[in-house]
Amino acid sequence: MVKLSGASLKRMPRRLLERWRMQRRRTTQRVPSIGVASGKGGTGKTFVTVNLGVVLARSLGKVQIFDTDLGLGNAHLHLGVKPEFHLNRFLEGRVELEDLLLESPYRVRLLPGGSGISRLAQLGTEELGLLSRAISRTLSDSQLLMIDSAAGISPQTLMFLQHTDYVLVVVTPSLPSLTDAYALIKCMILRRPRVRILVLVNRADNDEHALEAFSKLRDVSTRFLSFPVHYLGGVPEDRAVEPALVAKVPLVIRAPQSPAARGLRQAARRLARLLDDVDPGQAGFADSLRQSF
Amino acid sequence: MIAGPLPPHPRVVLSSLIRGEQPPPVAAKPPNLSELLPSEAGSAGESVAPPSAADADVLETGLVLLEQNLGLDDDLEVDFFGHDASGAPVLVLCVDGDDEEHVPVRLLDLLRWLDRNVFLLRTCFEEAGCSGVRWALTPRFFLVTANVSARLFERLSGLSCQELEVFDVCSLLFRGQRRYFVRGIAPWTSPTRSVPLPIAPDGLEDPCLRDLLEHVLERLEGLTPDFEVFGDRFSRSVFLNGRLCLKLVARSGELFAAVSGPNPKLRIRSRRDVDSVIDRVLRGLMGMPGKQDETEARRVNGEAGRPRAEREPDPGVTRRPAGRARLGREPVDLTSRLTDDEMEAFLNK
Repeated sequence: MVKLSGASLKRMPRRLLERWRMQRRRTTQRVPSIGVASGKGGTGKTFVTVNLGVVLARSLGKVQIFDTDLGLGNAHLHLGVKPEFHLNRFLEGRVELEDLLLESPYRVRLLPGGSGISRLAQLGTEELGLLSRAISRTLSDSQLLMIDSAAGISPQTLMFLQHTDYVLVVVTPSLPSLTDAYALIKCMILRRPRVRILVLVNRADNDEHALEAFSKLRDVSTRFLSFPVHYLGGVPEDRAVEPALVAKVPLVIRAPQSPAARGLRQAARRLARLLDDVDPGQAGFADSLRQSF
Repeated sequence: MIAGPLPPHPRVVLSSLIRGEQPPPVAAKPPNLSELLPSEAGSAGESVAPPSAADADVLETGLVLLEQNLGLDDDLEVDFFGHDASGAPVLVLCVDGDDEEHVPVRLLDLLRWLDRNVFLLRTCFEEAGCSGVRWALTPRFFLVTANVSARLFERLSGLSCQELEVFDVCSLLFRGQRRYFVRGIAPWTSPTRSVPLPIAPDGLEDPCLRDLLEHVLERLEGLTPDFEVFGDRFSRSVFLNGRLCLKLVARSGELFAAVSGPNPKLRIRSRRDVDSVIDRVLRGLMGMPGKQDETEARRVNGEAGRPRAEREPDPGVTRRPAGRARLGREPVDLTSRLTDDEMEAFLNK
């Protein structure tokens, strides 16, 4: 790093100056990351990611969501923003990754996946390497990175998740959701034995129902894997959710007093406390991902 | 007068136990009064070696004794002086049946003396280069009794001394040898193994460290309900089926974990350290070597750097099937497919 004098800074072209500032911040800041996953589709993973991100942005500062559902990403719908370019353009070298970033009105910035572009769901090693090197530049002024992953346990999904500080598994109380989440946990342990897993139960009838579902997952995980999973909270089934989705406004903004919004805020508070324990000496998501290529 | 062996004075018992020994057998003859009086070197036939900055975990985890036979005034003496794990001054009085009458008055006199003159003690210890005592903290009193009547405990109940711990020396004859123990007397001190306990020991003041300690115990509880937790003011010991798995100790404002195996002591400062502790406990229970154990084993065996898969199997060693834990479970199939047992576990709950 070269230290620049005030006079030198004034003479620099603006774009270069921005890049220099971002690089300087990157050397002094390590952004914590949370991977949000579910074994089964339809558990409300993106809904949870976006709403938790909006709540956390109020206390932490700018939150960046990376929609790694690269073939069927729809986080932009939850935030009410419209992507101009897709990841395809970056991989083809036509735009920088920073040009894909979308700012929302909620201090949440989105790096969108691509919707309907099937090849993005199975990127090659070279493309993933290119992506990993570019991601760190986008994190310069973010306080938190949330990875909204694709449902299931594809190698690409697991690869993104294994570099995060925490993996938040979103489940519903249904048996298929719990068993698929368990399968995901098994795969995560294989890739990263020291992974820290949190569980959030979405669409539960009430707190007891959520806790019961979590206990089931926890007990099986403890019994067969000797692996602890931690309860982040429960979000009840709520009729206010669908209108918020239709309106393309996060629920915690549109209906902040709804039961689901309260559940999300409680979960976000717990998550914020856990983020304080992230080791600043460990490589962040971007560096860790880059080192694997 | 019936001649017979006299039990050793609690001061003798305590000194021996601190040294990790049992007290020497006492000669079976009636003692002279002078033999029962304490001296610099102890009574005749009952040698009391000075503990000299000795760890007195037998009374409380982290207790350190710095001085013995401390004479504060003409007739005000303390058997031992030291500090606890938080640095609070500790005064230890050893009392048997002959001395019990004066104990409550002695405690009150000590309280009054310390209230006026603790700076004298501080000066002496600082000049002697003894560190570790935080003089601003409230002094604590440890009363170690032997052969006292129940009336003494009734009288002590009437004292409003918040920082009093009471212990009793007891013994039993085991395989022809008399063995001595020191046990806490409720309500002042919890007996060594008692439940229920508050999750975090009182001596751990930092709320973040208390949180971390509670987190360790919650995670262990999540693994199996069979863990048992015991402890005192500054520690928690975790047992499984009678085997000590983990000891958590608060000392000088820090939290430490002691687990069996190489690198046994770990300082706990964050959730990541909690992960390490749980990992080590699990490995200890399942008999699996840790990463550092594997490296050390390879170094010792002269195969440093050689991947495990390439090593020649030792024909003289019967190997257990890979991954079979000491607890007798089948190896874990870490693929996404659920086993029949796993699926049944979900269905049956």
